[in-house]
Amino acid sequence: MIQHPSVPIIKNEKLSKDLFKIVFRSKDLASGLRPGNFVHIRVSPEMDPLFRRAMSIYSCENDTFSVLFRAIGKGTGLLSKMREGDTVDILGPLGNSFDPPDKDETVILVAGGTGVPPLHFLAQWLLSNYGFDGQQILFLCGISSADDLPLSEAVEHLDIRMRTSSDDGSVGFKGYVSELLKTEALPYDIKKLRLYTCGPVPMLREVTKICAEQGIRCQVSLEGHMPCGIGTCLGCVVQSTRGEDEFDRICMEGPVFDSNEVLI
Amino acid sequence: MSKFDLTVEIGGVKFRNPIMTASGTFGYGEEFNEYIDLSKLGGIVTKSVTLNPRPGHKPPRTCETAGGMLNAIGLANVGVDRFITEKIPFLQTLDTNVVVNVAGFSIEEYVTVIDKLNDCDGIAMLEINISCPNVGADGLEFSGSPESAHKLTSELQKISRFPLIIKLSPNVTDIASIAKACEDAGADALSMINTLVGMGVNHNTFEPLLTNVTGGLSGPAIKPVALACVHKVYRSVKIPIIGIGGIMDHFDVAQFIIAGAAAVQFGTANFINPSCTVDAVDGLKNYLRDIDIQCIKELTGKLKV
Repeated sequence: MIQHPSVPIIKNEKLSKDLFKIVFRSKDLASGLRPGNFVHIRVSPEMDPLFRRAMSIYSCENDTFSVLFRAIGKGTGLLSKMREGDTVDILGPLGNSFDPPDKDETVILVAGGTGVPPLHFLAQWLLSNYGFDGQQILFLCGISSADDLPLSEAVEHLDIRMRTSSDDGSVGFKGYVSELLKTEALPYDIKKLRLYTCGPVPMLREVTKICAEQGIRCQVSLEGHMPCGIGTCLGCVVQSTRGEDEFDRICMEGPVFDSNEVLI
Repeated sequence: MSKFDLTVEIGGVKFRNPIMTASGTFGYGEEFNEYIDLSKLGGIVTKSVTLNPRPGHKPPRTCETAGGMLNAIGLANVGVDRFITEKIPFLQTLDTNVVVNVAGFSIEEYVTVIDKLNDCDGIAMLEINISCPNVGADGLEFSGSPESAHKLTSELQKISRFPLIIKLSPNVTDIASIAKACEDAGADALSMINTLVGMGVNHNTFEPLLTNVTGGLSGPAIKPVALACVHKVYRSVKIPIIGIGGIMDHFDVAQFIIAGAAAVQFGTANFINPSCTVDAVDGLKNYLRDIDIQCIKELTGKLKV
């Protein structure tokens, strides 16, 4: 069953003034979720906000899973105020998942801001389910300033290699994470490199451009205006590289795409 | 529960209950098959089918509004030929009435599409979209005057082997005169309302929220407008009315039927709760028990004014 009408919240952790991590308990969901999948959460039984909120997955363990998000509007604001014991209606798992890398490849994960969660889940999955060594995984985490340090801290517990950049230089490398990528990717044999990225559109454009120039295989996880999440409303489309009149639904054909499949 | 009679008849077609899905919110049925038992519905209405495939507008195509949404999908669909080869076989397996929604940019286009559909089994009725607000200058505005609505309806009535539902737009001066013109031209039923023209503006970027600039407003925000249209048209025509506009649950269904509808369609609600329609079928039975009415047909037009 994809519709889960009453999923309990077991923890809501405020990480900063607007960043929250919520842990849900659902064995069905937790056992079915794969890195890249998303859930569609009804944040209120009322009519405003009307639509569900699509959330990528930060982590998945046994019978629980968690999301990490920024409260920026009415819907995420309501979700951020929920407490342990509250229940929500969730559709999921939805969407496709990342293609796994080969075992002998190096994986670079490039996250910008709240693009961290799905790549954190992917890193966890590669370590626990694919037998990857932590040294094979490099996580590049771009944040705007020290205010968003909890985003980078949310990855630091993993036994992988990690670099953080901040736009204002208050944390780590000063500059965009795409700049950091240019130097960090240099030492690797491109044929044995896989890159996965999620974050704001300008960052994705820059990262996918670098990958195209250097011939690095890259998958992007996208978000879009997503009323239904199940492929019917055709609202969340992205233009395909197949042609000007070709669109893919982010909720069904995505949210994960090969970077050369879509025009971001 | 079975003592309550939810059946309705529209254009000679029997419906198990008055609850259907609205065009453009239910794909071609397949998408919802894993969420709900489609045989519990009175009928499903497909996404608009046009002569040629249409990719739709560039994104963003939707945005949320207070109690509703704007959409300008642009009639994205696979075109009638692929509809017949790829979608009809699934629809034929369904134990519910399949209503195929047809859109066109000229009378000839509607005629060609219907000619092709005439050869298909598994279709109960056609719903004619004469009023999509999102394709603007391209045409599709046969709902603008009683004369144009009459002409299109009578031409299609001549050639269709299926009963016709004409879907009306609220974006007109007098919906009742257009409804009457469709009835006079031989329409079997009317469905109303299509979406209301609306737009959103981003005050930071000065850009519209939709690439198409304007879109169609749907959802609970438009329910009062839809109810008023149904009420007005019910007093002007004798053919059955299918109410559409912001219906979220069985109480909304009851309100539309009391205002004059014989049946209803759930639209935007499908995006929020995929099981809203089947939930409403159950809710409607409880409602009839509570108000001590056996037969849903008795409720149509029982507004006390």
